[in-house]
Amino acid sequence: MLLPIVFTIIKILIIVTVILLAVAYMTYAERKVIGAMQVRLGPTHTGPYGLLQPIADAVKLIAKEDLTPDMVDRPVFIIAPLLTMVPALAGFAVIPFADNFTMFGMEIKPYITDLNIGLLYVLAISSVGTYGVIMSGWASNSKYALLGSLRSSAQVLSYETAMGLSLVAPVLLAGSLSLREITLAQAGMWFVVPQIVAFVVYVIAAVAETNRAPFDLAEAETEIVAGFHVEYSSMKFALFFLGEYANMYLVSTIATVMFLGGWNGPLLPPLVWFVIKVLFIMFIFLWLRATLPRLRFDQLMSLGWKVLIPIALANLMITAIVVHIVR
Amino acid sequence: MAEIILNGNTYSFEKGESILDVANRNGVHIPTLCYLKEITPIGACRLCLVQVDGAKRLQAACVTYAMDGMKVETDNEYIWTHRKQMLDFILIKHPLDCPVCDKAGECMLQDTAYEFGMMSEKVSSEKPQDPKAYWNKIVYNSNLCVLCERCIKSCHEMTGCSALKMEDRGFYNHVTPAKGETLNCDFCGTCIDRCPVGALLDTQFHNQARVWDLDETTTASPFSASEGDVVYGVLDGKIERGKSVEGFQISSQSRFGFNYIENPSRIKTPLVKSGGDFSPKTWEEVISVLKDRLAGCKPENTAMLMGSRLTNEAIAAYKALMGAVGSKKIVTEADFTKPAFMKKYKEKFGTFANIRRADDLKKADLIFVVGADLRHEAVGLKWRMMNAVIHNDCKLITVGLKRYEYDVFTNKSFLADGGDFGGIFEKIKTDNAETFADVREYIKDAKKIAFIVGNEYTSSCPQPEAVLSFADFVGKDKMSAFLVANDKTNIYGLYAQELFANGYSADELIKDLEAKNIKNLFLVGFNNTYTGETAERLNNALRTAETVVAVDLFNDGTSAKANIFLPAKAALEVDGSFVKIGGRLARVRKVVDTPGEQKSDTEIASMLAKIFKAEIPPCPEEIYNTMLAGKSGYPEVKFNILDSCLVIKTEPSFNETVYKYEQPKSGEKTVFVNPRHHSGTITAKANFTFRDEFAVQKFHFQQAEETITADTCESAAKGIKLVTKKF
Amino acid sequence: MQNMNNNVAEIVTVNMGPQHPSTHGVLRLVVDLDGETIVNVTPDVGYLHRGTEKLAENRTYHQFIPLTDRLDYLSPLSNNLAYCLAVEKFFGVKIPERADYMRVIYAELARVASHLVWIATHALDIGAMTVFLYAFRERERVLDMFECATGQRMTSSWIRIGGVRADAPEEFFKLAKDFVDEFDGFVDLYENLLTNNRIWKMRTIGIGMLNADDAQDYGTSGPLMRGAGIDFDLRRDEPYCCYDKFQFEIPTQPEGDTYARYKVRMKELREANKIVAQALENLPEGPIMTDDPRVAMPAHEDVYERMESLIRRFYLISKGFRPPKGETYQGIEAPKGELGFYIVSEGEERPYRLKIRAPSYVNLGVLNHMAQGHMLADLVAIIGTNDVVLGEIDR
Repeated sequence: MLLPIVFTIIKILIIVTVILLAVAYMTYAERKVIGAMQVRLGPTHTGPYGLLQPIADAVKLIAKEDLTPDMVDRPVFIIAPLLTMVPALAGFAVIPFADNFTMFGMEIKPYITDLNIGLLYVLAISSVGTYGVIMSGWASNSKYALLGSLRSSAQVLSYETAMGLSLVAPVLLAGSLSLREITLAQAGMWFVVPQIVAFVVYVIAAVAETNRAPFDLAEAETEIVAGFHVEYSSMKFALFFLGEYANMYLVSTIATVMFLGGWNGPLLPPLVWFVIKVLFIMFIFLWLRATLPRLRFDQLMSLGWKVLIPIALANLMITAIVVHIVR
Repeated sequence: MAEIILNGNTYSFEKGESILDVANRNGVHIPTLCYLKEITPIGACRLCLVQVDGAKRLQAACVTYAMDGMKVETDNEYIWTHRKQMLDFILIKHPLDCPVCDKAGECMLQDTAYEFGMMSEKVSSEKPQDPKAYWNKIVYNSNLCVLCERCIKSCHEMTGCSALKMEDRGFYNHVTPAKGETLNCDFCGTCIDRCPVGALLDTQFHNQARVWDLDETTTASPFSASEGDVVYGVLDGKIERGKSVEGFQISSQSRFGFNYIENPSRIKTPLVKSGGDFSPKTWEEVISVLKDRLAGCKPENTAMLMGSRLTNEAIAAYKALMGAVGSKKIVTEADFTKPAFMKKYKEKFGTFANIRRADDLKKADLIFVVGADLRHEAVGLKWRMMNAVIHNDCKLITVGLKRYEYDVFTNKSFLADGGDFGGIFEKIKTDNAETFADVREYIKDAKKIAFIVGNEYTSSCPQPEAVLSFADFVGKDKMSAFLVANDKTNIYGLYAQELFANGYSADELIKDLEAKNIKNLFLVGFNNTYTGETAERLNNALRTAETVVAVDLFNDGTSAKANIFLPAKAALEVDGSFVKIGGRLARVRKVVDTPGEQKSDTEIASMLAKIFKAEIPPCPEEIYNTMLAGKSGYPEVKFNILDSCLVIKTEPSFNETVYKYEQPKSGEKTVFVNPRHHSGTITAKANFTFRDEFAVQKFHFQQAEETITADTCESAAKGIKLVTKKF
Repeated sequence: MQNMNNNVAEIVTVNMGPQHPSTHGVLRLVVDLDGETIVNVTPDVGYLHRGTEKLAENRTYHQFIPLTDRLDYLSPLSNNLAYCLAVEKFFGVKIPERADYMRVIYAELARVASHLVWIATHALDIGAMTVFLYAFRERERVLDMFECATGQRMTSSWIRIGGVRADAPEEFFKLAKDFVDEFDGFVDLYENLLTNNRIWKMRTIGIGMLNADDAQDYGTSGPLMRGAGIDFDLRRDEPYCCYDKFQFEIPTQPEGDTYARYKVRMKELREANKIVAQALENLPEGPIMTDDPRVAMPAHEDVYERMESLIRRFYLISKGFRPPKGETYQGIEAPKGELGFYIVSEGEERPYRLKIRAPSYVNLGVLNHMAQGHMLADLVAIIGTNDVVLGEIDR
């Protein structure tokens, strides 16, 4: 009775540690990769090839003075970053990283749990993250922060619809909401092939969900409002940042699981394939950031509502009709 | 009317004018380098070349007389090419010293080269590297010399010294002292001022500052009564150099002696003597001490000895102070310098002021210098006299105790053996010897006759009215100027404010002192450097007064006898005015700040007056406007428009002098004269040793001590001993 | 967040302070917003005011040259050129040919440098970070060339009254030739990233409209005017230096929006490159400083050896030359617009009054007009397209 609980706790610890490290080193990778695209070197000084840069950043952020401005709503102010970070981590509870395998005579399941409504759970949990954004904007008692947070939450809400609609199509193809089932269903052919439109819509919506360029108006430095986390410093600011990158990882893993076949792939072990596919999606995130200019907010909203949602709906309807005909 | 055509325009001129004179008068520009208005033209630089119709070569405008009907071009390309070539020749051998030359910034060669638009020399050449020649206080750099001869001519024609000459010819031509290895002249610095380049410079200013960094102030000379105004250049609150105003000259005292204000022995705080020693006090303390000691002072017990270093405004202020006290017992230095002569002078002319101006000497036809060693007493008069001699064909006759250094220019020079000036005059009037008959010829031919009378005469001639009676002989109509040379700064100011022979004389003061009648004595700027019986008796008698308040710069000399010493600002540190020879009202301007807590004389007078419940304004401007303007001949204008060009008005009369010649007694007479370059304690204080981390510097000249008798010096009169004073 | 037209608008005033990453320098904008729409933009300038025009009244003409460098500090040699031309007009100095060509080379390279900064910051503001780094990589090459020729990367004060300070070494011409050959390729690179980019077009087309009449009324000049359709360029229409010897086009676009101005400036980059190439090819031999004795500073070697040169240099530096009484004006086509110097002389060695007609100052006046009705996010794009530099505005 105790053993599964112990195993689960061990798995949770492993996954959380790996995610946090991965998030930290994603910042490093971003700087290096974007640097290469921009004809510059990125971090090189801290440690060999600058590999210790994230550690240095973490130490700096921890050592900074933790300011709480005067007129803020204190409980809300403190909870907001947590509300951004925790749902992103919690979403990883249902992601299957690899196929079940046996080790030491026991069957190891490389996922924390396999809910039969796994996808619904992920979508629900990541929506809670939006609260964190709104709360931080409100609690900061600054009209620029409020403006930024309202924009960001509007953006996230709009694109969530498109994201959800594009994700329903693979569900129709797989016939289950459980992420493990969906991965197993792609053993033959990855869903990206029949659902290429949904994949593209999903990637665009994912970029908008995570407030990344070209949809980063809400937190862009060169705009008038410096974003909803303008009043935060030290650890709270670090939590926002980590939350954002964790969110990026989450949507990348969802994309991998839903469209790119999860751990399926020849020759290499399943975990390695999983990691390669997640990193590929992350690379697309970085690539977009380096290349494209930023969209203005109204252009962003009109793209989401007037373009992506109709396409996702149309794709869904066509998929439904085809599936019904085939089945 | 003679006419000349310049560049197509016709101008009239008078006979004897050169083309350059005509051009300058009418605003036609011809560049020059060696031309100087005050001397005869030289024609050495050849920059004033002009094209004269009919002459094959270009002519130098400064030395070419204008002729009637002459056609002259001054401004075409042919002329400018040649002018530039001339300048090129000058510049070829001129070393590249601009960055290290003192003259840079006021160098005529720089200005002319720039004006001509010279870009680069066509012929390169090696620059000369001869060593500099140090002639006491003047340094000559022959590498920079452009051989314009301005220095030689101005020394010869303007100062009468003729101390410089040209030596060697061709490439080796250079300037050198005329007599001996080094200069032994007046060191008036006229050559320095006139040199267009940095060849002649004064060693005191050498390498001290850049001329454009200096703040320049023009002020009347605080040393001598006969020279022009001085321009002092100040850098960081310290006077670096003095030079003369354009068109005038100054003496060596003004040029080199300004450092007396920095003498370490200058008193900076008030001193009160207690128990034989002076102890410093603040001004508040000293005022309370003065209040105690001067309380209940009665007019008949209070006297004042006034000196000649004071400005007119200071004199007026102190006079008002004594007026507040109610006492008329003011004795000035005028009582000690030529008193007997001046009394007779007043009887004749009705005023103590000089008759006519110093500049009137320049227009005289015949000048009598009677017992005045101008080099030691009034250098300024010597220049104007030389100007007349050179430019006006004036005849010069000296009657003195020795022959003077400008003897070559005199027509006649008589030696008054034993001080027998009267005898010479009698001979001139009546004697039939050819030399005296010539003098009578001169007097007959001359229309303007000027007299200069000096210390030698008043010290040795037993009958002071001799020369005055001689003036009668010459005649009132012919006499154009009568000047009494005096070496004190503002002695004429004392005369002008009626402080001499006003009912209380030095003898009476000495009597009062000896009778212990004077309890309070003010010594304002008074320094007894005089010789003679009266002066010595005064020195002894000063001790009897109870309270002696001295106001001066240094507290050695007469001020040592004071109980209370108030330090005063020097003439270079205040505003005011002086009266110079000939009645010129010269403006004194503040040049530097005082190095301590001294106050100006007018401020001190104002402070003292408050003790006696009177109001005297401390500001010289107010004093002039309220107390001096319009009175005693002072011009009735506001103080701030005084500019050294106005004169004190006098209305002299011409009375007959009663005189009968008497042979003087035999026996050697001793006459005290000033040492070279010194006229009082102020110049003496300018010679001090200053030690800093780099060098030992001495300023100004040392006091020479010499005694001249007929035995040692062949140009001296018999029966006379000339001894230099020691300041 | 946007009020509909029926409601009474509530105007919120927001301050884009002097320290801000996207205002090009210390520019303060007071923006009145109705929701997200801009109602009024008031620029508040003066944070970089250094009293340049007043300082000119106490300096000789020669001493003022370094102060001109600091006006449009992104293209310093242009400012030198405008000032020196104005002063030379007093005397009617004839500049030797080689000096003229060198001046044109420096001025056009300065134009290239300035426009590279423009594209870098404009793109960065709108979000394309990479173009910033590419453009600055080219700018580094231009600054290296300046350093090779003048010893200074930016404020070099190299163009002097009467010519150029000294001749450029061989290495400069080699660097310049390489640069000129490769630069067109680089401009292609930038255009690749931006010109046909959907998002770029969405952010710039129709933003910051300025039609030809308004451009003329407001007195704008430079790419702002040419992007509105007015075909006027001082280099062609009132030629100075020896611009009439070169073949180049003047790009204009009729639309008058940000995208049009973008295209105008990109073309100007290419044309500047062309001019530099032509100048390098036809560069004549000869002196690089006039020999007019009224203004010319003698050559440095001569000063150490020749008396006249020493006197001349001493005089010119310690006292300065004196132009005749009068006034002059000379305008040049600076990268930002028409940069003009108006000098009044009273015959002294210092000017009596020196007025700088700064193009950015005039162009900034049209900011409000261009920003009307746009959203706050567009304001950054509009500032970028206006291409102001505070050194010029505030002087």
